[in-house]
Amino acid sequence: MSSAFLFPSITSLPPGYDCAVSIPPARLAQKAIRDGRAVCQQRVFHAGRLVHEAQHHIEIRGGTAVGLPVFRWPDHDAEWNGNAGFLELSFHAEDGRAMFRDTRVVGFYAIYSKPGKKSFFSDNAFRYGAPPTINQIAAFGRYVDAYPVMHLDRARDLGETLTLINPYAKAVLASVATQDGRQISRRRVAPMSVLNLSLAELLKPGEERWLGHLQLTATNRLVTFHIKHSMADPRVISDHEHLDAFRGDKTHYPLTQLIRLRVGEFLRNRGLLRA
Amino acid sequence: MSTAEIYDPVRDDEATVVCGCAALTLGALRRRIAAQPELGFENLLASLGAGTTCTACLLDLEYHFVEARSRGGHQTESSATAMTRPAARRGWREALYAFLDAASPPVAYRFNNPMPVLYGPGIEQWLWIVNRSLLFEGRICAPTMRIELILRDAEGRTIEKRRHDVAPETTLRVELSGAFQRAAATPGQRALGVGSVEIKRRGLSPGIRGTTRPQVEVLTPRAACAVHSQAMAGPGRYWFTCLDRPEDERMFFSILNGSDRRTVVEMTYLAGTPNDAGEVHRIELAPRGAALHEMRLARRDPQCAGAPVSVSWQAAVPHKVHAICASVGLDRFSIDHL
Repeated sequence: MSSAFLFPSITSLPPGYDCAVSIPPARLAQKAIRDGRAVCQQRVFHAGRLVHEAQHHIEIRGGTAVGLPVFRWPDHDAEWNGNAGFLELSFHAEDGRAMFRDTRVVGFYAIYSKPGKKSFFSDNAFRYGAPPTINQIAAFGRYVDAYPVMHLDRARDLGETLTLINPYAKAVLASVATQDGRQISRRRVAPMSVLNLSLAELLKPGEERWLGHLQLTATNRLVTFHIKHSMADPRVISDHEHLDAFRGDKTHYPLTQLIRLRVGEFLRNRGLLRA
Repeated sequence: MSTAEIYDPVRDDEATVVCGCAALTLGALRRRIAAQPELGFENLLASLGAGTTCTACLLDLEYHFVEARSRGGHQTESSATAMTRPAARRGWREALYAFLDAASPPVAYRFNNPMPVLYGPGIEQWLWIVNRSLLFEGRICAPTMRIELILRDAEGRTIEKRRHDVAPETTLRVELSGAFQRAAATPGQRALGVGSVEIKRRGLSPGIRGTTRPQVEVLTPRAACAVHSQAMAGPGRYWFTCLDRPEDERMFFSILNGSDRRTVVEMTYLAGTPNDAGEVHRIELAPRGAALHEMRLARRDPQCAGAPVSVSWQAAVPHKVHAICASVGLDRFSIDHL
């Protein structure tokens, strides 16, 4: 179904790093079904407040997009008292007519950097309508995100933090459970805000190391990321990843559907069909 | 347990209230979406006064919003959604597929995900596959998943094969890099090396996938990073943006050849003005081979230091590229699939 807009996406703005987002023009243009002008809207939120808003007009013509802005956000660690914020980025047709093949978010990586530290990347997330979440609600009627690779180690300086982004107008309560019975219960994530939840509290007194799997549920969907960082200094980040929905997708398909899927893969692997 | 026993998306549109506070029925919601397709989710809710009072229905509204927009073949529609939609609302092709699929036996989908394996002094890479119900308290879990691993060196030679079954409520965590260290020509070498692992998996009985997507973890003596696996990418041109900061980091790209023939991947770095043709690097790959390519710009404009570098690559075969950003001392990594 063609659409006049793309679903908005969410990008994390963690403390301690500058952020830059550069969307490949061809990737946006690939989603367009006609030439024309589109509007790119950037909004930054912190602690319930809209702290930055900008609109850019883009010309989509001949398979490329002209005027796509590079979003740059300097480190706001001091101004935001060590808290995180988030960027909401959306596109819509200037004339309100159908312009995009579908509503799916344009995927991109944000770049996080700071002098003296290595940079890292993170992909953007759907603000709503994420296919794995929609499939999950269809299958189970419940929101659960999961992450298998948790690794806390005081000696090795391995720390972990969950970034819980609530880009909605109502507060959300989030709870975390691990496969060995550890819990963090009912943490409030305020509207249009970010809660950075250190997982160091999963360690028991005197415990040096813990490896495991966690799942997160909440009273509404959240946009969730997971940061691997120095336990001594959470502002030294190695890696920033998204959590994964508890997948409602099937392990088996009817033979006839599987044949269709395999034909699609065959064509994609030969460049005859774009993913 | 079938998904229908857990949650059956409601189908009696006019009798189904989807927001009690606004007395909104599913039928009214669908009519508004059809009449005003230009409305985004929040504008739709605002215009209907739905989902804004107690907010308990927000997740369901999001589901119905996407489901209603998906009619006509939107790609976000799940097969579960499609199968439960009444026949009267399906197109002829979808109805034909549903008829054929209903009469067809279930067959396990075989996932095939390639991942680079990094090795070098102090570097360990682990594969994790978790199969846990946890918050679903045993009611919903993936079936036993059969995992087959094929470890290959940079030249595409198989150096090890392994098989594991990951039963419900268990975790598989296996080390991958040791096999490459042992097979390396110069044990204890200083340089960062790369091989690959092909991760094949399938459910041994029908069920849902749950938490079983494979993840790899790269560990150094003082840091960790992780990423989930993905299928190969098809031939074509791809783009990525990174920074050129040789004082603070080393930027690598691992490239895996998913075909049985020798190939060349062309990587282009564009760091200057749009008129700059960029630097082109040709990376040769053996059949099923792997390469680790470090980004070292030959021409560096001091005024562009720290500016974004547009990276693109052209591949003629199925392949997989990962961006690996490391500290200068190779003791802190991040890895991202591209």
